Formats: sequence, structure tokens, C-alpha cells
Amino acid sequence: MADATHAPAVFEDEALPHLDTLYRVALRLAGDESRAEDLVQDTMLKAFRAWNQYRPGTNARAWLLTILRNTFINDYRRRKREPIATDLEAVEPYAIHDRVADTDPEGAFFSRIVDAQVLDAIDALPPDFREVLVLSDLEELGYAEIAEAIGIPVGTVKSRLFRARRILQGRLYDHAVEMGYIQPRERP
Amino acid sequence: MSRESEGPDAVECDRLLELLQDHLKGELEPAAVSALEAHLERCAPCFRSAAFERNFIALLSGKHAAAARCPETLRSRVLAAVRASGPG
Repeated sequence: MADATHAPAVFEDEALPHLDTLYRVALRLAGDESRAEDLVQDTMLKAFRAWNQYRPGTNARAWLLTILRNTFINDYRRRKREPIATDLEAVEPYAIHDRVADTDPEGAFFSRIVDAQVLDAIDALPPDFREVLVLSDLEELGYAEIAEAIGIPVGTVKSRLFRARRILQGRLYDHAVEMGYIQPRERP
Repeated sequence: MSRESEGPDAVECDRLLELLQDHLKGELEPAAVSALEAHLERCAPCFRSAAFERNFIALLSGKHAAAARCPETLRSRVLAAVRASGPG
């Protein structure tokens, strides 16, 4: 780390501003605050040790998210948290919107669902879909940055996001029916 | 799948959700945005689908506004750990 661009002070300037993002993503991946904190600290130490591999001027946030993700997969992932594979089959692209077409076609019921319930439903998504949705819809990263962080093509980002949103809509709809925010309707 | 599968806009209706996803992420080309907006103006079912998607995404980005920030204790811990493992 002899050169100035890879000095520790530069790491602090480039990496530390992304701590909020890393922490929020870690919360969604790891499931609780204590594990999220450990995951973020491990990530930042790994990033610091690998700092000479970072190319200045490229996307530091995506680079850090890649390290966070790899650290999570290698050291933190607990099998029992993984939802069952049948979730992947149960994606009906138009189902929810069609089911509210008569009663709440614009989805006003969404705004009645409390934050904790939304976050629980996100946490229950299959991991591959969850990470794309968290980066896109909670952290508001663009397709290219998500593709870079996860190491998948942009087309895969788009299709995972599409399916993740459909699954989440289905679960939030079920919750809204359960809570009486919306009247259930039989499928045609 | 389209609700307008018999109509003149069948192709556009079929592709609505896909185009809308890109549009709501701000990643649709300007020409495609114009075509999409024009379609939404004349197709009520797609207009409602678009409103539905917008409400859904607004719900999620609302979680972002209320979302957690990195605790100060963690920030200090990370900074201390980095400085402790530094070369100098």
C-alpha cells in the first residue's frame, strides 16, 4: 500500500460513507442486528486488506457490496433460513393485480401495511431474489450497479427483480386480506 | 396474459410490466418512455396496472426512508479496527 491512492486515509474517505448502505443490506441478509454488525465489520476489514486491489474511480459501493455478499455466503448463511425451492415456481405475474381489479385496482392497500410486516415479507423471499430486491427497491441501486455487486448479467437482475416483486406482492396481498385491509376475491 | 389481448395494443399490453419496471427505475430510453406514456393514456387497464406498481414500489422505498442507519458504535468499531490493522 505504498501509493497514495491506496493509503488508509483514502480507504476511510471512500469506504466509510457506504456504512449505512452496508449495514442495511447486512440486516436484510443476516436477519438480526448483532449478526449484521459482525458482518459489516468483517466486510470492512476484508475490504481494507484488499484495498490495493480496488481500482480508484470505480464503484466503491458495488465493490464493498460484493465483499459483503461473499462474506455472508461463506461465513454467515444459515441453511435453515433459506426458503424452500417451491417458492420459485409459485410466481404468477398478473395474479395479484387481477385479484384486486374490482376492489382496489391501484393497490391503495399497500400503504396500510406496516413497515415491520413489509420487512418480514422481504426477509422471507428466496435469497437470490431478496438480494436483488433489497439493492433495487430499498437501496435504489441501478441495474448495472446491482449486476456488478452480485456478479450476474443485467438481464438476470431484471428477471429476478420482476419475480421478486411478484412474490412479494402476493405475500403482502395475503397479509392485507388477513388484516381486513382488502376484501378477498375468488380467482376467475 | 394481457387483459387487452384482442385489441390493437395487444403487444404493448403484454410488455407493459416489463417496460414499466425499466421505466420506474429510470432506465428506459426516452423514445420508449414516450411510447409507454402514450399507451398508458389510452389504455385504462394498463394505467391502473402502472398505478398499482407505483404504489407498491413507493411502499418499499418508504421502508428506505425509515430504514436503519449504521449504529455509531459500529462505525467507531470499524474505524478502530481498520486503523489498528493498518500498515503504519
